[in-house]
Amino acid sequence: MAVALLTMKNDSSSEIAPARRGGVALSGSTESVVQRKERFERDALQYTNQLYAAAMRYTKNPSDAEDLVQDTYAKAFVSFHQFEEGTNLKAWLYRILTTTFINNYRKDQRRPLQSNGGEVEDWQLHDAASHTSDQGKSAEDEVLENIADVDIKNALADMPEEFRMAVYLADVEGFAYKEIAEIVGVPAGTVMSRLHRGRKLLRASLADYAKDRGFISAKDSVGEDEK
Amino acid sequence: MSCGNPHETPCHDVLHSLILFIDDELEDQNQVHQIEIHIQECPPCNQELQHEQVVLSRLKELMTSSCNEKASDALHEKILSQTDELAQQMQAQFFGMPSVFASQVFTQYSRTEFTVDGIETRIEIETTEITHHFDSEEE
Repeated sequence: MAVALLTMKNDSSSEIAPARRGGVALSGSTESVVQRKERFERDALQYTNQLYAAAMRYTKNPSDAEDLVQDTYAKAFVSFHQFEEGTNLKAWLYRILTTTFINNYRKDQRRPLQSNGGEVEDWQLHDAASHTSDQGKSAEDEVLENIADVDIKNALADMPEEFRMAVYLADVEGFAYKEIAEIVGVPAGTVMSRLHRGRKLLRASLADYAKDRGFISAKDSVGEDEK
Repeated sequence: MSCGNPHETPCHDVLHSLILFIDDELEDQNQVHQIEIHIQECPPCNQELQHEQVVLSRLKELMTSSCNEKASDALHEKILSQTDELAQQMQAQFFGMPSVFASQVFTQYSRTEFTVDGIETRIEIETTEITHHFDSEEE
């Protein structure tokens, strides 16, 4: 009776060889540190500018935005083995960005992270179920032709955080509802609600800026016929 | 305000789903088809759709062009050197210096061979997973 005892890394049996060639194998993968770093620099770092612009929407100031992006990349690198190749890397990075922001950066930590269930029905009640008047339509077109960049930024910045995130992720980054749901950590129905209400708020707020700047008159103001 | 004609799908329902239709988020293809038919038949809903599409694409354009800050060179540099540093720590961890990042899993195999009746040899292999946790500061 012979007893042999051997210890090897849990790299699914005999698959450890390629990793060893690169020097050091990381737990849970056959990739070396050097290989992981190369892959990270090649695939993940191209999103730095985009993440920074998103971080500016989240934190509203350059210094926090820089810190947030740097933290995001630190976390992303350390858990890069958890990212499944072939899946959406951009969405994965946005999820880290958003979670890090919610947990560490948002000004008021006491705010509940999840909304209540009533939110979903809420937008449906508020949703206009009648046609908009022609006057309302052309007034809004005029607003959007004349609005200044700074007004857009301010209007976004003034929106409640969860609406701002939903609008930004959908309308600037082009994520689908389901992707946003994963990024933000709420159900898709909640994303829908936040996105639609966020867009409405944004449109109303742009109309207010337009009114203040005098290029539409108060009586033409957008959204009046929806109330 | 309606075109006054009866439709298979009422205007109210179409308007209700219009934004999902525009966002391409309606999962029910049947519903998509019904809205498409309704839109062809009903000028007010058609106008509503067009207006919403124009407004939304304009909003997207405006937001995209005004929210396009670039990360500073300093930030790009910081991220590169941070990645270097973390990679070095990972290497160090593998050579036995505890690091904050990971736990390592080893599998221990014990193989037992014994002979029955002097003829057959049976081999039993037991595997045990041993997880070695390093101190972690992560969440």
